[in-house]
Amino acid sequence: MAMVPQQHLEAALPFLEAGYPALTPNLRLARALRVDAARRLGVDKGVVKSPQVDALGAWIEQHWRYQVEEGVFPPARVLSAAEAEEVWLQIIEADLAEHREFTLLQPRAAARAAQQCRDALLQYRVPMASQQPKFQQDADCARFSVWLDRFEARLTGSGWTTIADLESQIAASARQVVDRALVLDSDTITPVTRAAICRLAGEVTWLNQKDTEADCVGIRYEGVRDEQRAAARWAAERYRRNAGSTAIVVLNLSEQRQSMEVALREAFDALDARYDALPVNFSRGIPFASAPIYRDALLALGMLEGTVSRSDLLAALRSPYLTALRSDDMKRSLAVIRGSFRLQADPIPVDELRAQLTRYGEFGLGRILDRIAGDRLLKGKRSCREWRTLWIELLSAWGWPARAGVDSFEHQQIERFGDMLDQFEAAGDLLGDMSYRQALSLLRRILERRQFQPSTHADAIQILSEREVRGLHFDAVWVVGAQSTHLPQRVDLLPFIPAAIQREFRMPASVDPEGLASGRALLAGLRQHCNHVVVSWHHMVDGVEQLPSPLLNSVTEALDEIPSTADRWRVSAASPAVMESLEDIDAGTLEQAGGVGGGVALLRDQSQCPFRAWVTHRLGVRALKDPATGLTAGERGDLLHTTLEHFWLACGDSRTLRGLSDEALANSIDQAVSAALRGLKPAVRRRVGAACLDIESQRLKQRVAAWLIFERERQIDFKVVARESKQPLSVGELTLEVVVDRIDELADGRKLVLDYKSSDRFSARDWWGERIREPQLPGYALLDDAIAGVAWAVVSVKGMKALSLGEDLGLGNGASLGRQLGDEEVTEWTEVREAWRQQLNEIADEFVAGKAEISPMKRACDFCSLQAVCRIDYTAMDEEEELTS
Amino acid sequence: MIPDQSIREQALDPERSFCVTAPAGSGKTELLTQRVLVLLTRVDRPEQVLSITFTRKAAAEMRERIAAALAAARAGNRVANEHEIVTRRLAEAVLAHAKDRHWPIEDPEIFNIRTIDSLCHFLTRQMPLLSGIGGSIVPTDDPQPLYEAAVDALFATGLNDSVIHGSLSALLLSFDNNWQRLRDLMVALLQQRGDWEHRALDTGTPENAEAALLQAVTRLIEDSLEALRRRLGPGRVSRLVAIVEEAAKALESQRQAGELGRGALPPGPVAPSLSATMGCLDEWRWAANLLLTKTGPSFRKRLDKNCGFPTSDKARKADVLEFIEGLAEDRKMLALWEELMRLPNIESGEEGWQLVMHLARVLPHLEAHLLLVFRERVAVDHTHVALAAEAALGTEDDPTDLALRLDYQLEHLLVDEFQDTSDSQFRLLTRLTQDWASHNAQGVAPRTVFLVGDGMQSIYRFRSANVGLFVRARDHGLGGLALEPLSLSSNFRSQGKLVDWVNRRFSRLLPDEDDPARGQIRHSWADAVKDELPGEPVEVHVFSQDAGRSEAAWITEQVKQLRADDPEASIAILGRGRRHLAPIVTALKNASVPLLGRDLEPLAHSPVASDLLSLCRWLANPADNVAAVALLRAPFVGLTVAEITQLLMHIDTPFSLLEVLDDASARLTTDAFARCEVLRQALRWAEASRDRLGLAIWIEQIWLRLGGPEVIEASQWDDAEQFFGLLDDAEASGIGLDPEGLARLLDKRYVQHQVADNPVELLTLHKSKGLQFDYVFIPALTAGTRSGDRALLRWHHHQQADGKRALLIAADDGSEAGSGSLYQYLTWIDRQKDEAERRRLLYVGITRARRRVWLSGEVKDPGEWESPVKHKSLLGLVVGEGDVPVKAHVVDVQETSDLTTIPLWRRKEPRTVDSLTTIQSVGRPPLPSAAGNLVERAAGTALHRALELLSETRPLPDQHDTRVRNAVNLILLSTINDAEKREQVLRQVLEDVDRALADEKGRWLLGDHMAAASELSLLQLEEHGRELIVDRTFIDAEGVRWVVDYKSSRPRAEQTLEDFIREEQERYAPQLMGYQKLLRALDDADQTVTVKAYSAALYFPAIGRLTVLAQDINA
Ligand code: SF4
Repeated sequence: MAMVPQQHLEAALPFLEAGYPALTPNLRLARALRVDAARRLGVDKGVVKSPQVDALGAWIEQHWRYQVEEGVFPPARVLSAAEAEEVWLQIIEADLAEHREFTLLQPRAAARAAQQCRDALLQYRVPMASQQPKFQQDADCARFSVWLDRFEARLTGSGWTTIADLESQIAASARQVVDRALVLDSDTITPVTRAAICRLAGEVTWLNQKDTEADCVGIRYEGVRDEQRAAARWAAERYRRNAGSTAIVVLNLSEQRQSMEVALREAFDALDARYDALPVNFSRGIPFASAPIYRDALLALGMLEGTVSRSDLLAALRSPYLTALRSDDMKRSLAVIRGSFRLQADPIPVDELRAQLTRYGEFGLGRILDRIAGDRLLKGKRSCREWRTLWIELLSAWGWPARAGVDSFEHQQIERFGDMLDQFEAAGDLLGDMSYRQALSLLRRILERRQFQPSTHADAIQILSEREVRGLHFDAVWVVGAQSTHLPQRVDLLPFIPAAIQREFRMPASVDPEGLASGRALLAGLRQHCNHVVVSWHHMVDGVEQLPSPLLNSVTEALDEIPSTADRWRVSAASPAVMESLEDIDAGTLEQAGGVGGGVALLRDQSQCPFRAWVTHRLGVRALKDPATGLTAGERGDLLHTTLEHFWLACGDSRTLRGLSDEALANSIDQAVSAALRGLKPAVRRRVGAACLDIESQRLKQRVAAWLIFERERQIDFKVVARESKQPLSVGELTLEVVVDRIDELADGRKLVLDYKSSDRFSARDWWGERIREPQLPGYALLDDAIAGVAWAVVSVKGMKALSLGEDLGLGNGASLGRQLGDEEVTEWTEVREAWRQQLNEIADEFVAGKAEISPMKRACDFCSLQAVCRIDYTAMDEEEELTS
Repeated sequence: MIPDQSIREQALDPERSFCVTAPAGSGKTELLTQRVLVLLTRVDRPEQVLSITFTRKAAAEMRERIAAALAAARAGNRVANEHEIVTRRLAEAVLAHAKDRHWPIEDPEIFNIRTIDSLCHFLTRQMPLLSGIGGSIVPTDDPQPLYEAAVDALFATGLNDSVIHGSLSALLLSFDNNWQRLRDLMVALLQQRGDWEHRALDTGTPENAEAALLQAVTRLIEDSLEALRRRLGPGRVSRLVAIVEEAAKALESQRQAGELGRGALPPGPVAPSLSATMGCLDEWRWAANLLLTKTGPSFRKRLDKNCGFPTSDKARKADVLEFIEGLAEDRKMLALWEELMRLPNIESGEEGWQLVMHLARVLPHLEAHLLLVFRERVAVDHTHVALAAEAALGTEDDPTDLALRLDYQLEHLLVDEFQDTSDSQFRLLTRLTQDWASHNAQGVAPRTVFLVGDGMQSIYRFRSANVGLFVRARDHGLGGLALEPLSLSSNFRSQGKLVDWVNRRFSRLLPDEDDPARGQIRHSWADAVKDELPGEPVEVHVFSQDAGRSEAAWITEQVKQLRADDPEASIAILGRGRRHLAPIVTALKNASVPLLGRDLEPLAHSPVASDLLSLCRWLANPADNVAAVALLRAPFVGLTVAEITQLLMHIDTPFSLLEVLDDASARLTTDAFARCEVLRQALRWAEASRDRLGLAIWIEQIWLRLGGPEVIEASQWDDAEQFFGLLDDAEASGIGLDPEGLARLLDKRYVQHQVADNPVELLTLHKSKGLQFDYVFIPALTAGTRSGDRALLRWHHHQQADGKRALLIAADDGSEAGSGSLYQYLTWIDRQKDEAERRRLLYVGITRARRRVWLSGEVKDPGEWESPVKHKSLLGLVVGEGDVPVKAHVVDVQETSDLTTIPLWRRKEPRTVDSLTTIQSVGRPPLPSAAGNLVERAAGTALHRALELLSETRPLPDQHDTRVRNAVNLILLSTINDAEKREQVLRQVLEDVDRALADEKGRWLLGDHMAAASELSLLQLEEHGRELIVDRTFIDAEGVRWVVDYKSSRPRAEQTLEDFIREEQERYAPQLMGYQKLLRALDDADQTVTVKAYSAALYFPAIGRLTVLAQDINA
């Protein structure tokens, strides 16, 4: 199938036959013309000598090289665009370092813009010497001109040049190399290129596109998905019918590439096993950096920088390409995840991770990290050549890119790695030694810049951007996305070149700011070169109405029924399943009631939501811990508990407390706080850092001092007889191990159970009701017959108080004992206890019986993370949130 | 003629600048369009007229309107009414003007219509350095992670930074060392930093910040006192001085006499001056206590000995009471006295005050960390772009020459919805127009500003909109440019009775004076243009409390009736929050009424999305057992709790789901096992195809294998499709399968309803702005707002009497109302603004209607409402003094327990398992070798080029010439930057070249032959034009076609020559044979050559060896 228009081919053949070059604005077109011409020149032959068709840029560079060889021009290293960008960046960063008052958030973006502007100055042959003053009128342009001088000096000093420079050089002083040349599609060529060609060729024939008005009707689709699907279906249809060469031009290809691919996959049914059989060729591939195989390689290399985020750790552990990380024993991987998540750090320091890995046995990753830890390799600067060697070594140590048999895409991707490392090394050669971080970011940039395009056969459907379709011939073309915002494409003024210069030298943004001329040329070209052209646009984007391109003469409604994804499911899914709704509340009796853990929380869960108790205590399934900032509420609570435990261990009773002078009290508190902090787990200590612990120490001292003043005022003598004491609690058939914060023995021998709380959100109501919301203290009340009361000791930032139940506890006004419990009225402490015992026994027995219904108490779901499991439709959205979303 | 015709005509005067108040339904869009058309005829380039809207939707609408007006004029369509005639006339003028100037008028994008965000983005793009950004960067819509990272960085380094260590520690300590909470506060601050950053950071040092805040409070107090003095007038002030002095004296003598009771006032000022200075605040407060009751803000009606009026002093008492009565006549007076009592007390709030100081010290550092995060992650938020745009426009003293940059001068600015402007936006607009006043003063064609808005519709305070700015612009202009105020009054939307109802009701609900500092906007009257319709325009209904069910049922009935009576009519149900609309959604769905809820039901609540998320969570994190159990209970698997218990019995957590499923057969019944098999197969397939398909496609394929679509109703397929769309976004933005990232994305999505014909629309009052419907229901108007939350930080810009604005900012210091802390003062201000906005929200809702409105809510005792009630809710305010009739609906509410059991929903029969197909594997290519051999390869390339050149050089030299040397050097240059090293390699290559030239075989290869070619490029036509390069080929005297490949390699140190040659031969034989085949094909087709045999060979110049690989004589 011919790829270039017939008339272009006819024009080119005489030149080629006579040994004159035919030149095209880009490589794609050169390749197409070369093949088409070869076919014509070598009819019936399997192989021919390549006709002399070149892309303009390559041809000029080649002749520059020849003339350097001949001594016409001095030799120079030609920087690639990526290399030139790095040089610009160095210059800009040096300038930033010199002028501290001037900052840039994204120096790289500035480097890119600067490069673009310098190229434009050369391409449009702006004589800088005379134009220089104009740059001084504008702050941005003036700064650029300083950079420009430095860039020029750097080029000269280092013997470097750029593509744009060598074109200028040729245009200025090259000698002629051919008598004649043909240039195709020449209306997009910049002045310097034009001049360079004229210099190299004695006589140039320019083949321009005819400037005709094309009559274009646009088909209107509602949304972008509809439009893409329609185009994809059309293309698939043509492919199946073998209807000739087909292209889809996507006007904002970079944004729509992915969704277009999905639409095509749907249309070609290349979603699953036939994934690599999509007969489509995208002119723009995906950056290597986002291909999973390289994404994971970068991840693996990045991990050595000191920390690893949770999501990266997960990605690495599940990566099919980093086999050293995949332990054969899945349980070990799980333990590592749980262990690392338990640290509640995000990112996780690699040292901690290493400790986890060592704890859970020999892991490939552990070995690598150990090796790196012992290695001073990562410190200091090295040449890219050395980094390259190290990386290959590291990656093979990770097991990269092993996967039980790679597919053809992966195969092609791996094959290209060498090229990219070459580029990396070449750039490194230019930029000098660099640190691990710098080198890695250079590699990442190279992988981001380079695009992977799976090789497909030539009769595939071509997906092109509007620039790439220029000059090509297809039997049929569909242009999608022809909204006024995308067709024509508008060009911004260049940021660092004064507008006046851009106007004077007829740079694109000033000549055709709306891009109408080039848009018109695009459509006219398509009309001229393609037998069948369809143009479409979509009317809605994110609820915002779009207008059709002004280049469309009229618009019509789409008539075809566009199938949705759901339609595809309808085809692939069997008929709807028969559904049932089951009462599902019985998990079966617990076999060994003795062994359940979870302490008193089990009762609370069973009471507040039996289903939650089942998931948490019967199955033992809990959500993984979220990362924490500073100490968690639980850790701070524990520290308060242990501080008080230490204090009472030393102090013992109320009499001693009251006997302490202020100074002595402060000393005891200090000691208790220090002891508590000493007991903190080392991993927590490392996570939060010393500064946090300093503040915590101050906080504890303040809170505990305030609380002890409160205790000092208690109207009764007491002795602390138990602190953080582990005790078995028998309820129903269960025996739970509970930890009681504190038990006081009062002067008359009665006992009081205290539980420290840092928040005052509890109330005595939580002890009553049909089901006990907070069964903790009621449970403790049953531990010992001498217990005559219970109390929450609220040690909160808002103040100190005790919330108690029981008679004459010396804690101020406690909650009233008189309650209606079920049918009975209780007034005595013993009755309360009895009622509690009954209720708790019932709750415990429910658990043992496996009662697991989803029937949460009010607010029980507020802090529960099991919604995905119980599937309750739980809406706890507050007004604030509604207003701001 | 319409009532405000002349105002509309004025508004089109292209020489004057205006600030137009355009109430609901006043046709402002038409007016804006007309004004744009007028202005277009005054400029050389269409970009010179800049229109700013607040949403992309509004911008698109305006563009569409202008384009439509011009298109209609071009086509000469007929016009129907007066408005259209005006528009047509203007459009025709634009067409003529455009033609003269060769504007491509058919292109709607030439009109400069932007949202403020896109304007900022545009400006920063045009001025990459001045804006400090560097280049174009698209701001992210999800900046939360950036803010979090900045706060984390602050926490990580701040405590070791000697400058802020103390302040940061103090802040953390005051937050109970709860880092998470302070983190949330700071994240919230970063979100809104457009409003505080500017000033808070201008002060430079922490000491300056402290001084600035202190000064701001002082100014606030003194300005308030001055305002009170002004309101009182000099006469009353001196009278008050006397009253205070006498009362204080009397009180003192009573005190000495021991005659005072318990509630007596404290000792009063001895010689009060009541001037407007800080020092007099206590005097004023004492005066306030004298004049006001203790309980609420009201003036005293009695005076007694406890405030210095003994019973004996009748005359003085009467006199003073009369004075107080005089004050009470002024509605505004009480508010001023109340404010006086609320003013912050600098001494009293020691701790809170310190907190503010600490914050002021820490915030600049936080800001700096945010910039670092932006830099590292190559991302910015909209706020940064806005601030950068402002910075790029320069300062007042040193403005940027924007015209030079843009290549055109902005001549006219129009801003729609100006009441929604935030402080930072206001600053930007001021900058943009800063020299316009002086320009206009030169008597040239004036530049104009045209602001349109409606204070009564200002409801976006939570997005930093500051309605005070609208008043400020109207009264004081924008920058130095004065604006003429205009007010539209015609209402083209609502029927006469409804307009009348709104006029009457809201003249009472809204204040009659503007008070921008308190967010108060006065009511303005509307004139109905449309006729009146029969019946009550607004009805009020109240229902018994039953979680919205009876209200929803009733509304559904009404809706059905309306749709039956008038199928074409548009109906909307507007809720204050999504929560309030939930019961109605259910009721309408049950009644099969087609509905359209925009951004109403969070997608996260959809069971389909939730199951898909569990699937993703498990795939991302195999240790996520919650997700694993969720999958087991999902409808496509559907294990019961008993079965799951069996399956997981005696298995430690975290368990590996796949391993558990592998062993399931022993533990489960056949049915349950079959259910597990479906899951197991799907997950096995998932692992095998991980990272090979696009994310969305991968998950979808797993879901299909699970039979996902089969277990949901077709109506939920949309939810699934949306979820897959979300996965596409996740993949594009690099979030991938990260569970937290996915959950964050999910939180921002809403269920999209299938669009039917003319559905009932459900939306929040906020979202309803700018829309209109025939019938409007506003339910749940009695529900309270949750105001219990204490904002962690509050701020307010105090408009000083000297015209400057000062930032007041306070942190939550735990103080109680009335404690005199700055925080409490700002809380009070915020409450006032909130209340004002709450009322405006109702105004916006009601004015959406063209014909009728129903307001409703739930109350404890509906019966009570049939007679006048006092209720603080919006509905209570509307009903007010009882002149609005209320219809009560009393329902017998059944006691429902909050314990409801949810059943298991699953497919009845397990699915049959699909066969497992996976993508075909191919062999794995080797990793590139660790050493890149880049230099060696460059040397090889150089050698090839040198030999190519020599093959063309005649006579063949004995040694390399300059050209060869140049060529080699040029190639090496691109790989070896170091001159010395390059020289070394160069020498080596040239030695090889010379060796070839000295070597007989080499000279033969390079010599003259028939059909000779170097670097011959061949195209294989069957292979889609694959190109191959042959180093050297020719036909020798014996008629043998040689195909030669040059090799620059040489034996390794430990290698013998023979081994080396053998290795190389093996390596290159296939390739060369291929070349040979091609040349044969080429020769076969060429009549001019005869070849007897073919010979493929490798040539090693370094060792001077020509090795023949194969010779084929049977040619
Ligand atoms: S979310 Fe509510 S219903 Fe579900 S398990 Fe948790 S508490 Fe129970």
